[in-house]
Amino acid sequence: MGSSINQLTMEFPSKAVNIGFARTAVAMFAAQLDFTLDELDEIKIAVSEAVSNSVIHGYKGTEGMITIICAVGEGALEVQIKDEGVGIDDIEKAFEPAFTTAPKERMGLGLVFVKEYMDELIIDSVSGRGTSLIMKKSPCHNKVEV
Amino acid sequence: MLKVKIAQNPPHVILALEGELDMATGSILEQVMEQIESRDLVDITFSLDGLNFIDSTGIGQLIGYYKVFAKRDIPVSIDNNNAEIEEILALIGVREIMGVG
Repeated sequence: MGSSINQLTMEFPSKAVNIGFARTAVAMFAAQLDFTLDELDEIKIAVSEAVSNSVIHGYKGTEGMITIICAVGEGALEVQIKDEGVGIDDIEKAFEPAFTTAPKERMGLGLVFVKEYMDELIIDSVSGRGTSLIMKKSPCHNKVEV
Repeated sequence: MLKVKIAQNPPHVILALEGELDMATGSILEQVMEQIESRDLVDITFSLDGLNFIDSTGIGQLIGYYKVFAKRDIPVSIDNNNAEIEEILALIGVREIMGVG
């Protein structure tokens, strides 16, 4: 985010126990903007899905580091979630509902949730080197109907 | 954190979930399910009114129980009056998969 007015960086091991902390911390950071409680819940879900993806798919049960960089500026929140895991072979397929590489644990709806609840989602992934997911959201009253 | 209360014992089991159901807390529910799965069961209801967070992993776990117990002809349903949770269930189409009270 070019002219961010505030920023938060977190780095933690890819342990499931950290997912709740990550989503709560991002939601608390986002609360400096005028998000409704419903919107903060949506941000929590999106972060939870993205971090769960890194734990389950990125590192596949092995331990690595997950980095979250949050920024606010120009009335919008930007959250980047990065891992250095196996990466996504086919990003287009990863967006398909019910597509998952871990059928026992997931329904393949994680990215569907992220897309539904955030305004913008950008995924950059290199097979074998990791995944970066950037998502953006503005408070609903800031959005202009066209 | 997740708390699972057995609000009604077998054979008509009601499990009241309080707190957060996600990848980190799913094992707490799994432990309770392991306690009851060998009992004589007629039906199982998950009450979600006390939940304040659920994600696709948590919903996937509930649907997983629905599928497992369907093989034993034991219906598994969700009782929910929580608007925030309801919105997430609707997004995933849980109503079409399981009964939602």
